[in-house]
Amino acid sequence: MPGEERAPAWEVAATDEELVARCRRGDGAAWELLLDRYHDAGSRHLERMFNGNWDLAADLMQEVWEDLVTELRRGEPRRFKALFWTVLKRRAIDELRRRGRRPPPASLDAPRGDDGEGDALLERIESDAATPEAEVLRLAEAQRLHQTLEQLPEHYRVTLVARDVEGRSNRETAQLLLERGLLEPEGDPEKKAENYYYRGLKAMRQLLQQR
Amino acid sequence: MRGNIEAVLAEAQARLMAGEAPAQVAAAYPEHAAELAALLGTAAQLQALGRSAARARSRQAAGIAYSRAFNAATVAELVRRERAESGLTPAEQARRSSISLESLSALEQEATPVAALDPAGIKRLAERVRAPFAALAKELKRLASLEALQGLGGAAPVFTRGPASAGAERQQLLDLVRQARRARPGGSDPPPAGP
Repeated sequence: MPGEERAPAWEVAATDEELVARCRRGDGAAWELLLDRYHDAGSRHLERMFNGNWDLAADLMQEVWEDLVTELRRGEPRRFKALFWTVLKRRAIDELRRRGRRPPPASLDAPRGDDGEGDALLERIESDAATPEAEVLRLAEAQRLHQTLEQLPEHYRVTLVARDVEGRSNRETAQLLLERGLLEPEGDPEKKAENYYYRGLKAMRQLLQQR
Repeated sequence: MRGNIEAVLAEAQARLMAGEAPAQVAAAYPEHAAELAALLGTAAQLQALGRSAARARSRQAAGIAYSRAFNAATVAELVRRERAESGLTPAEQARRSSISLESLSALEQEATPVAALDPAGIKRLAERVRAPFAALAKELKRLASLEALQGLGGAAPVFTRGPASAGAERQQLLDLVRQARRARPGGSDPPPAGP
């Protein structure tokens, strides 16, 4: 799992249940280790479930952890892993219902029950988890992207950040560009925003190739 | 499917966000496949930035939720707890931690739970400490004559500037510098200015 490789050797050996016991005694480091083990896997799962809406996935993950805190205050769970995926599934299904969508069959989207049968799914989700080396590369890449974005003209930069980094729709992006005075109100603002996105992405790609 | 590359890109971007791979999406638009594959690769890189920021946000919130529920220590509490356990005065604690008293006091205002400190939180913390540290460094520069102090034996000088002790300690340091100058062969205080 991703976080385990970053933790000291004696922490790697700690089971989830040992970490939970430490969490219940107020040990924040143990909580961090649980986050290392489950946060990215859970986030990835929710992002896939909600079509890449990572803002919504982040909100749901926050609620999942809040529910887990409540569970931990009540008592020590028999298996933390099972509890984690049960809570996550419950939150996801609530959200799907709220949106009027039918929850997918449990066997396809989440581990089942408290008996550890979900491990196969968990392994599939975690198979693309970042190693520490990948994490370092990811940070370097993020820095490179930030620096390249800074080089773009403002109307392109705002468009790319709105569309791809913040996940706004083309209509919302056009609205933002209008509000910032980066788009003339005449004509079709959405078409212009599409054009900015295309040209901005091309310019970004060229700059990245030059670096 | 629409023919215009700009409109096609808008459609393709939505599919990319939903989790499809750039090559897979590009292949769905054969007339623009090559250009789309290149552009969607860049879009995917940018989307990874957004995803990562969202995950960091929810992770920090998870740290705060835990800290609130289990009364995990804040930075300020840790500073106070160490002082209580060791029986040190604030000045002694600052000296032992190699920071100024002002920096220690800044840390004591920090209400962020330790478990919720992300890189941005640590940076904010460092910013708080930086100003008093810079002031201390400036003061040390003014005191100068570290070279002269090297010749002295005895207890190490104290650089801490508490509100009450700053003047006296500074005077003490200046006296030490003067003594060191006198002690060097041929050394003396500069003659008073004027005739």
